Amino acid sequence: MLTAFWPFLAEHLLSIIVATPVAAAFALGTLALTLRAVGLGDLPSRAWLGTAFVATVLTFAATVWAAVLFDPEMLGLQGLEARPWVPALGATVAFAVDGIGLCFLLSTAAVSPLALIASRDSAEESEPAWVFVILALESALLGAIASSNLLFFIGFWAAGLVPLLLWMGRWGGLGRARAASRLWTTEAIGLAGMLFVAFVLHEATLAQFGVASLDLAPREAGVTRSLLDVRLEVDEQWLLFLAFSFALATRLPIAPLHFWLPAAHAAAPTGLSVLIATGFAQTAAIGWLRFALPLFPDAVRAAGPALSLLGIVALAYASLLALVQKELKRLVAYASVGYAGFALFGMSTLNVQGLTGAVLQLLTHGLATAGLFTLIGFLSIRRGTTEVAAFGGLAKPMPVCAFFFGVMVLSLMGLPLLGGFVGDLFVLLGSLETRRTLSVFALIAMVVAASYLLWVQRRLFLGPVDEPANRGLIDLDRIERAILLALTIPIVAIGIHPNPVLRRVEPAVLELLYEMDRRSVAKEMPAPEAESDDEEFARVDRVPSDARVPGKGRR
Amino acid sequence: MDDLTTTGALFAGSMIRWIALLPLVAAFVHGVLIGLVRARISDRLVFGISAAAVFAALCLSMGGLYEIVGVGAAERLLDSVGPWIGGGVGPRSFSAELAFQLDPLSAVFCLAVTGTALIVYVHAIGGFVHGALDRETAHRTFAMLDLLVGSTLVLVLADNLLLFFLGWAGVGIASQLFAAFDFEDRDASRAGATTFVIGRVGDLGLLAAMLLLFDGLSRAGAPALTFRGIEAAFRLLEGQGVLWLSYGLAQAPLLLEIVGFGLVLAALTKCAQLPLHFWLPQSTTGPTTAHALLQSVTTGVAGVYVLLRFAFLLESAPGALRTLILAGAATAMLASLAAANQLNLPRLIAFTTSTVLGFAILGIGIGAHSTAAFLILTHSVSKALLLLVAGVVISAQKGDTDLRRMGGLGRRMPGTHWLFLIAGLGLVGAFPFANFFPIEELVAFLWISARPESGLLLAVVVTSVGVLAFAMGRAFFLIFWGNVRPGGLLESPLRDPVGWQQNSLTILAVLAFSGGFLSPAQFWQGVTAAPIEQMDTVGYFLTRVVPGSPDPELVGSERGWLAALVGLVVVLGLAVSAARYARRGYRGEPKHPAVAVATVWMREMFFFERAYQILLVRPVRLLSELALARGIENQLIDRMVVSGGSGLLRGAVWGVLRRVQNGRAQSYTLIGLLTLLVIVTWMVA
Repeated sequence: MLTAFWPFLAEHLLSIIVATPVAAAFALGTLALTLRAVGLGDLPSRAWLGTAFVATVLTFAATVWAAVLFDPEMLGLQGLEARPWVPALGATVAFAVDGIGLCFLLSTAAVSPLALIASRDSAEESEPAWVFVILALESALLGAIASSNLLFFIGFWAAGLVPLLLWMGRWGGLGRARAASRLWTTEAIGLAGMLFVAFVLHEATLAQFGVASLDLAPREAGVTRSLLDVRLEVDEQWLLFLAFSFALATRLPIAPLHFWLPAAHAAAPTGLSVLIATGFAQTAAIGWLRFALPLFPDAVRAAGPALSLLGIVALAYASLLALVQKELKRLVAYASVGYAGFALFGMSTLNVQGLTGAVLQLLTHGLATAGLFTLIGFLSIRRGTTEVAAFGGLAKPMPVCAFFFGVMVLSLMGLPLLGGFVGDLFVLLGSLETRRTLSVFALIAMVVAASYLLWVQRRLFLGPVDEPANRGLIDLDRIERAILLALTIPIVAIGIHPNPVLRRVEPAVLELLYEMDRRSVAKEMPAPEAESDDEEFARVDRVPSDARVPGKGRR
Repeated sequence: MDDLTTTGALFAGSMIRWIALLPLVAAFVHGVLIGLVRARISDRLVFGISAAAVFAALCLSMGGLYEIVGVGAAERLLDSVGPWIGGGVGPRSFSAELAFQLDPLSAVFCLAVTGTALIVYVHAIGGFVHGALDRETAHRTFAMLDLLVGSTLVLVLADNLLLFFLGWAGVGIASQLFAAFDFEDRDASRAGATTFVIGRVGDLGLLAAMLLLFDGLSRAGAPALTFRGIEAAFRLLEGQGVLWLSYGLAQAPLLLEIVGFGLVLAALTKCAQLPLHFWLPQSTTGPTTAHALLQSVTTGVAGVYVLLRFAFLLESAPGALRTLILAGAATAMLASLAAANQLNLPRLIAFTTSTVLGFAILGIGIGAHSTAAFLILTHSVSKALLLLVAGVVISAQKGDTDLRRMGGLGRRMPGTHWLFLIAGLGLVGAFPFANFFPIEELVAFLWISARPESGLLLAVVVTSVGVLAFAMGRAFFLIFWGNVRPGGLLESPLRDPVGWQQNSLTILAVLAFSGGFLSPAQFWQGVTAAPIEQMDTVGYFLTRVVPGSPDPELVGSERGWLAALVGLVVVLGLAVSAARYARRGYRGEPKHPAVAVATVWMREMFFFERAYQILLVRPVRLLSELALARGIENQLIDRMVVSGGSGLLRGAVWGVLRRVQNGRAQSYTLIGLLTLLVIVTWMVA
């Protein structure tokens, strides 16, 4: 029985990962309604939280299993599962991940239980609904990260919005209605753009293949053609790229489309902030890396320098704004806007190192900002406020809190041996290849940007304890320490030994760049400069040219 | 160019990693215990862990040095632990290993770092045991000391640039932690922030240099990250005349200048040189024990080491070298003046550090590489001694650091009095104390230098030496001679340190006296022009790695006159200070207003920090606050685009709906039909 069971699980691992949280949510909901109908009353709140926690941990365990099964040698998408959904629309229930998706999947599945626990105090009254919303959000985020069909992706993209808005609107803090309505408006506009892209691509595949197909990977070799085989002229690419990018740019978020984020973070409960900083932003990155870049290569290449510039400007702009924020959540929100700009800079370099760096950067900076939001949440529980001015000298009453805050800040600053360094290093190396002038500004912006983090750290933790209310603050308890430790471990692990992650992300990036080259319709593209005429010169300990064979290991 | 991987039975190549890793592991253990577990372990265990780690590192360094001295010219010991970071494709791929190398340069610095560290550790343990230091802070102090020592050793032993940067950043963090050691104090926390921000500027320089160098080399088809690889690639490309080819020939010198300038910026920040010097005097709010390590063998070593490692590259970057010379000379002059006018003992010592490191920086600028390394070594012992004795003095004054309230300690604490004297003489380079020999070498190098400005530089160095001697003499007489000042708080009973504290100071005093004899042969050879066989002195040892001659080619009476000049200037400075302060102690601020203003300006080293605050920090904050936060973010994006835009949108939608939802059946039917038409068209098409 079991021998047949394990292969079945392994075969459908991605569906299981995506479905587990929401299935648990529905099971819990049904149970609650049944109990109420029978007249047995509500379950104790601990039971709700405990079951949900177990569900999220199981999901994480499943992603770890997926990571073990993942073959780092293979290029392209893995773990493909596809079942027809609405054939006429080209929509399939299709899951698959590459190395990038795997990393994001792991990080989102890992922070979800932490987000659940971290905000357990904020929702004591209405546990069932609250747990339902969190689990549904996790499923939606995981689904978007793991889906390999455009329409399916858009479905999860939109589905994630509902629990998110519910969570913020029902359990959020001050200004939640305004924040929620803003988020909804911008996301709705973005969604319209995405649906437009899906519609046009549906028409195009229908016209070119005779069958509608929005799948990235063909389900069976030679039978169905994939979305990546559709030919798009340059002007079509431009239109679609712009329509598609609006949603991505609002969600990542790239200044000046970030206006919803500070308000959202200020109003959001801790757990939601954590998920917005990690999974929510990562779905946008997936949209870019899995769909936008390979689908519209010529437009992306042409827009590359402008996007890089935009990234740097966004980084500088958000960092300067963070410098003058007086409220902690808004400050960290602007910090994350800045790092999103830096990630965009990395992605727009369009080379291996830059893209790899951007992925790592999203991963580690996401975790570090999540850690900061968690710590701020804990401070807010204790003091009832998140104004910077209300704190000072906290290292005395709360040394452990100061310790973790320091680790997160140092990782964001890109100190070696912490995760942030690896991403920053790769982005900068990549940018030197294709955006040399801008990279100098990137370097300066990156290093100087950190000064506001230092300022806030000093303001919160150092100096004398001025406020009497701060004197008796209790340090992080055991559960809170465990949450922060769980966020710190991957940051430190990636900093000390980044190669396992790099070895999984790089093939995905190579495949992505290969698809971009293959799909490009502007053939007069200049050849990569390094390879042209330097063969005659001596090379010192040069690594043998990469063993990239087009299509190697592809399914 | 072979790497020695296996050598004698006593010392295996794979032991090198432990020189750096043992203190780092100790720091990690302490860090986890303090920050995470909040476990209190007994002080004895803390001392045991840290001292054992450093002692083991010292023994291993000695073993390594012994191996290195025995082997041939260009060899080194390499210890590769495994891959650390790697990635990329084709010519841009790189792989940075966790690998440590021990060559003459790193071996000498390793020994200096671990040796000084062990003595400082012993002194600190003595201080904690005898109650001179607060036991509550023992664990924290040793955690940070371990981090500082471990990071410095990683930096010195690193085989590639990324690992080097790791050590560099670690030193920066440790400096910040020490500056903000009394974190409950507002000034200390500010000093910590200043230290860190200045450190980041240095990091920026180093990162830029690293990345641009790698980029340039990989564009030329020779990517390398290891120091050896970079040098080999550099030489090869230079020899073929295709250096930085893909940058275009016109840009090649520019690239080298930028890389050189990045390195120089990094070194200037770590060595507390103009215009980024002010973090060091500010950070003296930290414990003097820590500064005994920080100012003697860590920050200075870090800054000078990076320049020595890249000496081959800096030779092709004349602009960067000129910056180096200018900064070194200006710092030596201004910092010695600042030291001469200080009223606060730790700040005074910090300015003397800047002065001496200025000499070293200047030496590297004019190509006297091994002289600079020699100066760093001799300086480290006298500075460590000076700071430890200063710590004794300060605790005798119940933590008061103000020179105006000190005086007459000599009679009560004779031992401390003599130790301070030895440290001071060693620092200012009184003949025949440690610093005399490298400073004399530097002056001789300047004398024979063909640079047009070398005369001026020589004058600057000699004057700074005199002012430095005056400053140290002034501090000495103010503290130990004269009478006990009325406002001074004195610990009672007042006595010299005892036990291990005393022993550690004595060892350092012996070294501060005799450190210069590491290269006496060079000196005598120079002065007497007698043909002495080339001896294996530090200078000659280092030339296996560092370019340039170890000794100025100046022999005979000229050299003798120069040496006499240096010696005389020192005596003169001391004599002036004795005449002014030996009897009467501190005499109040100068009366004449112009002199008073000049004194304050010199004391604050011309208010560089305030200038940065006014010219840079405030405008940026103001710009962010007014233009960005209020202007663009609030008014433009929030009000006009988002609220205004959504207002317009809402208006439009409502307008359409109002028109459509008018309650008339005809219009509903029309809408329904139109919708149906659209759907049918789409499905048919």
